[in-house]
Amino acid sequence: MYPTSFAQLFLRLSNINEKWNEILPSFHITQYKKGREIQTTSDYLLFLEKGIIKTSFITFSGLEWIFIFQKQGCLFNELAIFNNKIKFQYTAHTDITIRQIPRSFIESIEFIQNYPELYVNFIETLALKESISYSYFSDLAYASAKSRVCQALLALLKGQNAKDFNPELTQAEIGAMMGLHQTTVARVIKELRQENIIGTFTKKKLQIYDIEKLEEISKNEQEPLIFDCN
Amino acid sequence: MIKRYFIPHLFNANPEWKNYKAFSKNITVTNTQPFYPKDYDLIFVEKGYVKTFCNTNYKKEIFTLIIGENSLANVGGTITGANRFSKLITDTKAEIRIYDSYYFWDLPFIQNNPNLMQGLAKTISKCIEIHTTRSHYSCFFECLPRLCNTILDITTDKQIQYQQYIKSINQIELSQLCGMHPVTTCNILKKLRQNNIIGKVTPQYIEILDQETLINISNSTIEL
Repeated sequence: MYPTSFAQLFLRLSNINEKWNEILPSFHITQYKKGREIQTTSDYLLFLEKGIIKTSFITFSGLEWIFIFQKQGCLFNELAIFNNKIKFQYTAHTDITIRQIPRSFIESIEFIQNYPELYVNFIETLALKESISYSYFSDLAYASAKSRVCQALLALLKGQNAKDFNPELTQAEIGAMMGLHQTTVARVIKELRQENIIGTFTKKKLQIYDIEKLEEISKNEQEPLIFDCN
Repeated sequence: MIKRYFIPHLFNANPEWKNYKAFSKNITVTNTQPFYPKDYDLIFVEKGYVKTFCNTNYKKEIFTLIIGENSLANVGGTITGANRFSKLITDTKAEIRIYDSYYFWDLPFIQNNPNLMQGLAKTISKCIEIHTTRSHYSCFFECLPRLCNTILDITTDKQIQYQQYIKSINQIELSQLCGMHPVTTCNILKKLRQNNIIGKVTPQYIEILDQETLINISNSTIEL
């Protein structure tokens, strides 16, 4: 069972499609250097064998919305094989290795009949990503800037064993995920530090002191904005 | 002037499920008789359309999707075991089929019904597209382009089948689809009317006087 609220989600997915390893050796392998944009087409489903990729969406005004980071063991480019209108951009966040799984293979009846457990895993992956896309709307559209940052911090905290960990994410990247300007994120972080809810927050270190308070703020709804167009 | 009629987000999305009736029961939904699904209830709309409502992180119920005929409503939610739909209603009458999705995760069932599984995957993909576009507009766009995009998204100027028409969408529902306050929606509609971009707004359709400008505003390439 997967969580459905944004704060419960991992901002980094990893190994959710490990089961696919058994069929990977037969598919073409490609490597990309850190920072390179991954060339995608609707002809291939891609599997990240090694490294981290950033999945983002470039807005009309050229702003980057980071949707999610994925680590090794994850499928990506699923929407393209369904001829979806959404065109995600995938960038190598580290040096990466990927496998190209032909769309014709995924779409074949033989694939579902021979590997039903992989098809279930594929559908589960789509469902998880749908859950993430829904949570962005249901949890962030109505949230204040402070609440959005707290939700991101809680999401980073998930899967960590300590309250002092490496977030592997910068404040600018949190801004790009939450639709906030970098200076807004910095201001909120400063406030949270002053309120003794968090400690240090750098790319390598994040200290969380008060999870309960963080959860409480993460649920603060934004006062309804009323725009008077007259 | 063109009339853009309100249409469902999904219509005839899963024809392959039409004749599959095992593990299911039929239910009638009306405007006074909502349906409250359980976690593993997979919903297929047979006739009419349903308006789906979800709970958010803030315990607030919001209008989320309109699901038309021959379409599955909540595939992703049932797979994750956390059906986020709190209720389904309709404006007149809709016939829905409720499957116990638990049975669909049996491997022999999947091997014997690959086309049903492909239908599930396709529908989730479509829902990712709807939610991602909406989230993108909510997080990065001002209210004006957001509303214009929603209008373009849930209406059509093309000839459509009779069953595809929505009987009624009010401004509160329109606001919730954009994640905005109803007063803001009302003010923006007024502004669009004053600028001769739209005309009359009815529960069934919106009169569009200048579609090109509406598209440009939704893309944020021009401002009013």
